[in-house]
Amino acid sequence: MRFIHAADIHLGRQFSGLTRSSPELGRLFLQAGYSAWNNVIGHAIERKADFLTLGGDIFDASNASLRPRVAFRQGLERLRDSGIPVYAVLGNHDPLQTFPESLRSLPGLNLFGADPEQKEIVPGAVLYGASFPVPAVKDNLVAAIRRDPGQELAIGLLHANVTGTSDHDDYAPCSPGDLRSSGMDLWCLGHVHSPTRVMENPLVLYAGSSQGAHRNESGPRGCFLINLNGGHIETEFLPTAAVRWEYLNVDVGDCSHPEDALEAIELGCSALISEGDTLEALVAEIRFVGSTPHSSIQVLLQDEEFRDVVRERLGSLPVPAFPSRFLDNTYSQADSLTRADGLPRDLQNQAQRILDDPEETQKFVHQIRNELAKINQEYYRDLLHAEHWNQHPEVASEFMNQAVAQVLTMISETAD
Amino acid sequence: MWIQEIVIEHFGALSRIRVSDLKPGLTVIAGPNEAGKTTLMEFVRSVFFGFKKRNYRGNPYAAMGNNFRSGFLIVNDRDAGVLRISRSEKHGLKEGDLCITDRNGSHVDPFLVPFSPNGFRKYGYENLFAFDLDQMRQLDREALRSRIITAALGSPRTNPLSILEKLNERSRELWKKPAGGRDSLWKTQSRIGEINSRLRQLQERPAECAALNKQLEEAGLRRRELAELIRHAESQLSELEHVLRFESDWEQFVSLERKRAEAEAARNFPIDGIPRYESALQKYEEANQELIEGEAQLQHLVRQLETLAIDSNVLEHADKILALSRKAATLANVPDEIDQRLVLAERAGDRLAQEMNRLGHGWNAERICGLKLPLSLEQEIQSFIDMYQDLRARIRDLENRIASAQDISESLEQKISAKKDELQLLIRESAGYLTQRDRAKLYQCKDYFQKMSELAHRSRDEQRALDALIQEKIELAQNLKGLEVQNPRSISPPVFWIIVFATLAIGGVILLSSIMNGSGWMHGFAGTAALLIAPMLFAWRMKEERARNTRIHNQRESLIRKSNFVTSRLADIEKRRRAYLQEIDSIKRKIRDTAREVLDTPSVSLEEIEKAEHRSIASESAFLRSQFLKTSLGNDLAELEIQNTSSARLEAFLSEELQELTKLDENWKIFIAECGLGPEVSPEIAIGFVRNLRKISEAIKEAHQETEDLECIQTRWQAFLQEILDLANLMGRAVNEPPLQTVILWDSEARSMRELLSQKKGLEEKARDLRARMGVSSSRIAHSRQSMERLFATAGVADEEAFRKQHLQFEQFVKISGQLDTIADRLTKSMKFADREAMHAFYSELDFFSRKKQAEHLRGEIDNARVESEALLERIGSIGARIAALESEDETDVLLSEKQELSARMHEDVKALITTRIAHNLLERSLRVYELEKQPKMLERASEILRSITGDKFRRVIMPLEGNKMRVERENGTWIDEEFLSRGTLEQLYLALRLSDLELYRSDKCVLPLIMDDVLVNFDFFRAGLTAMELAKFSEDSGIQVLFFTCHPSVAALFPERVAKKSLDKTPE
Repeated sequence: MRFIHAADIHLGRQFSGLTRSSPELGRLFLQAGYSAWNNVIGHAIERKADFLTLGGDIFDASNASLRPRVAFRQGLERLRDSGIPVYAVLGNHDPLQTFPESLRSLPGLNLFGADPEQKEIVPGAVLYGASFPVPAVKDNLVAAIRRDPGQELAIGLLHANVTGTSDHDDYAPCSPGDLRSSGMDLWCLGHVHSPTRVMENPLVLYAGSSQGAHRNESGPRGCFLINLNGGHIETEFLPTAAVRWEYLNVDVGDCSHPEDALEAIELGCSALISEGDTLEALVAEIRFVGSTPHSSIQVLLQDEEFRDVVRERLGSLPVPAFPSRFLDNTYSQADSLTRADGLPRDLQNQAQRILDDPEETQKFVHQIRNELAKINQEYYRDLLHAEHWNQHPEVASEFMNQAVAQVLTMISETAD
Repeated sequence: MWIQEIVIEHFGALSRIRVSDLKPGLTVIAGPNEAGKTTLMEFVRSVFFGFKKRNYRGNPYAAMGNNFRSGFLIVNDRDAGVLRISRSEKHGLKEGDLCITDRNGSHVDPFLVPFSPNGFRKYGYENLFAFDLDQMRQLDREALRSRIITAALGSPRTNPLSILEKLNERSRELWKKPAGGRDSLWKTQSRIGEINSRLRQLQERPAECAALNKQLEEAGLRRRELAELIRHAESQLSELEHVLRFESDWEQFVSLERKRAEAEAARNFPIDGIPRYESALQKYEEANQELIEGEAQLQHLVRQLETLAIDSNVLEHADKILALSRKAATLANVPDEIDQRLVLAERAGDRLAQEMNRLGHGWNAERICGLKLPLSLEQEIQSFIDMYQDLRARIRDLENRIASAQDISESLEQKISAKKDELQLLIRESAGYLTQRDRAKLYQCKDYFQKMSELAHRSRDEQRALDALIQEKIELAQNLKGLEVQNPRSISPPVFWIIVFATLAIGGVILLSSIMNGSGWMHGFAGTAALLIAPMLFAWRMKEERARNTRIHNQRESLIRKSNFVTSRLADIEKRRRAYLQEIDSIKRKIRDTAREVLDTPSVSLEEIEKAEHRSIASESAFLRSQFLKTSLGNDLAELEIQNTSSARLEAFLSEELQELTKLDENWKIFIAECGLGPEVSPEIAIGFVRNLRKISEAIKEAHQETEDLECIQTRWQAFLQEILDLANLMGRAVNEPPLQTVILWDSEARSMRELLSQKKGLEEKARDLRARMGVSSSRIAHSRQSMERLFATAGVADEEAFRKQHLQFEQFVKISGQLDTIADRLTKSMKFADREAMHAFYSELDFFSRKKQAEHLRGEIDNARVESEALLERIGSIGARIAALESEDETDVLLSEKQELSARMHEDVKALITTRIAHNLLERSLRVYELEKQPKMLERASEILRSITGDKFRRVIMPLEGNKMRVERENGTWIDEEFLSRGTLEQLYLALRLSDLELYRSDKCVLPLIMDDVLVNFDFFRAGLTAMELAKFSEDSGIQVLFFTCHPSVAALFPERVAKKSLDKTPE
């Protein structure tokens, strides 16, 4: 028996964090999430899977718009034509409460209810699972699942957060011990967006999201093909993402001409691309590193025109790449502030005085917030908050450093 | 830096002017107009910062008489010493050629002097260091202000307020102004708002779609209903039309029925009357003809029969003769075959007997035949032999292996014992070896020893120092005691007192004697003098005593100080010495610990340690070798173990194989004993023997078969001869010929008799046949006649003519009936009636008119339904298209993606805005600090100077952060803006600001001399005096040289006396 486990499809989710769109790749980016879903279906059909499991968060929005619904329905139709049933649980993004009524009883879809239940796949092989009734489920769903005696094969399917996987909201929390004591042969989970093998005995898998949508979801994304031969479980990771997010460190230390830098970027992108198979495009955050003795290069990296040329060149690669942003982490840039004296030092002293005194910080932040009254708070609520500054001094000091640098730049511009 | 001497060679109207002996402080240089004060000032400036261009709009101070401008200054610099700074005009050099030399005439790098390119700028110099009245009044407020509030900015041209304004501008730009292909924050934010509201609208799409789907479903349902309706109506209509189509048929049917009734009379005429009649007639004539021909043939046959004659005896035994002749044919070769077989059987018997004799050992035919010799027997023997040989080989191999294993074991044991011996030896040798850690510890221990000796050494040094100090202290105490002795008086006290008393006595005596004698003033004088000497002596003595006491006191003080110092050093040294001793103790403890731990002795010396180390080094190779040997010995032992185990296993195998071999041996012996084979038998012989046996047994079986066949053939031949004799008796004939020929003769006779008999039978058959045919012909004649009679009777006529007439009428009737049947069939089939009556009943009752009307109505209904269905189809299409459009449009995704992008930008821009606001706030705060902390310093000084100059008429000056006008506080506490000050006061204010600026910001740096040209002319006498005092004080306090030029001797007189004054006259070189 073999099946495909996918999760966190997030149909309807669009890329975030891009400050600039790519006219050439725009359509591809809009489609990427759907393409990934189609790739999951394609894998299931091509590999002749016996069934497909979905670990929740099929839709990104609790009230899914039309296109995701259509995409989901069409995918299920394709699977049904190939005789592949789908077993699905729902997660925090698409709980039962808001899951479209019209999609619940699609033929070929076996949807788990809010209470833990079991569904027989073939005689002797059973799938256990439960869906989120509401978006925020804080109960331990795994604890409510126990294997019945006399079953040859038992697979658990849930949208849950295994203790220790931070960076994700702690919904349906459970511990490795819970997973072990449930008696399943295999746990197929959703919620964590990177493909992860949490533990080996029993095997606990996070399929990860089928398509990365921002810079923190870099690297390959896909689903797992799981082969069950007697008591032996084999897994194979199948990439599905149409567009991959990557970080690209470009060492411009040896570059003395703009062409060298361009070539280094192109080479880096090509090296990333050669591995993918479902890949149609790449979104790469380009970080310039190394020390740059040639100040001309330093200036060049900041030049918008140069960046446009980079965009153009990367867009014409066999698998086109789009630079999401450019970071200048070269050395000479980094230590410019340390040589501060006079006014810079006074400014920094001021900043330090503000940061050292929580009350002063509070006042200062309040003052700045007053000056931003016209802007919707959601854009700076967390960023500009006294408590946040106190808890994350690095955020505050980065702001302060940038502010000081800005004043200094202005002074040097004026003095020239 | 201050100017010692100014020498103008050519400059402006002046040439060869020397102003020498200038002093570092304030110098007032007075001179009438045209004396060249301004030129001098300009010259100093030019030497420092270069000449003005010749085409300068103002006065370029070009030298007269086409001379090049030139001259030099002798300056005294705090760091560089005396320098000669000369500048001379030169082609190609805009500012003239600058040459700086030191006292020795060697060149000095211009970068080292304060007016160098990286020192002051000309602008700053003119503003601060060299100004006349007009220049003084042109206070560069902006610069001053910059200097005040950006003291620490490093760039005096930067105005922080403009930076503040720029930051504000930038904030505004971010908020409102699109830049770099991007929208402003404001626009982005409102666009996001629009997107959000649009997205909210789009969220209704699924509901709309669901509603459309429902409509679609309803329309589909209605359409299906309509389709059903149409289908039903159409079926009804088609039925009706079907019925109506047969209206004309029915009418024809009715008229034909009428016609048929008219021809009803001929109905009984037989259908095939005429053909039947014609055939009956023909048959009658044919039968008559046949009868006549048959009679003639019969007579001819009777004649032929009478001529035939047949022998019946032969015919009787014909069957037996035929059987005998067939047998004779098959037995023709039998007598020869019998002879041949007899000969062959004899030869085979002889061969067999020989073979059996060869076998010997009691082998005879019965025994051989009794044996079962299956074909697998050879294979069994072969496999048995193979197994046997294989077993033997295995046993040999096992034996070899056991022998080799034993060899290996023995060699291993030898090796092991050799290694053990060596190991014993090595262990003894490596007894002194120390581990790395122990050696490290010993090394540390050595360190300790060294440290300890060092410490001991130091402690001894300290002890020596201690002793020396104690000695010194004792000496000091002695010195203290001996102070009195060391300071001897010039005359000891007793002598002194004797002298005093002696003088007094002498004086007294002389005086008394003179009084008593009255011996003149000379004696009285001498007595008085003697008396006076005594107090003088006393006074001298007192003075000397006081000086001595002071000296002793001072010496004591110094001795006590020394003693105290020595005591404190003593304490220090003692402390250090104790510390060293403690440390030595601790090191000793550590050494003891190490010795116990490493060498297992309670104490240890350095030599012992070194010995132990030497021992360890000496035995290191032995130790390493022993380690290696231990490992190798362990390996060997393990290998030996393995060898022993394997050889034991091999022996077990061997014994098993031997048992097997004996079993096989026994089996083999039984086999060969049974076969009667010799003890040394090869597999080929055994197999050959078995094959031979099988061949013999087969030969015996064959011989038996042959004998039986021969007997059988002989029996058959005898029976055949007997049969011939029996038949001859039966037929009553003698057998004279050989039996086979006799049989052939009989056979030919019987065949000719059979042929005659068959001829006779054929003729008789033919005659019978003819008679029967003639009977048939006569009966056919009678039958034909009867048929014709019956036909006439049926038609109801008497003769042939009437019969034929009746036939014509009947044909007419049949035709009508046929037409009627066709129509009736059509009608019946049309509605699938059960029968014709049902059809007739249906059509006779049918109202065609009402049916036509009904059909018309149905057609109308169908048309209506079709129209509605078409409309529905159109609606379904439009709804479907709408749904498809809704489903395929990706506005949500596009908007979402745009929103994400805008949000990212928004976040970035908001971050930039926050940074800008923070920058603004930080700068503002910093500036406020400047206003409070740094500005007052300068302005305080300026206020102080202003107070002095104005005689406390004005108290304070400030410069507000906003605006660039200064404000001054009057003595009554009111504030006044600078523009409302009187000209003199304003000049005083500016002078105060300049002096304060110079004092505060330049006093710690290299400064140039301050040169002022008659700046006090607008000051009233009182204030001018105060200013002169202030200038003198400023120069003294700040160390800045001030050259004050004036053309008013009265002004020069205002300066204090201590100020150097010079009058300027044209002095030829």
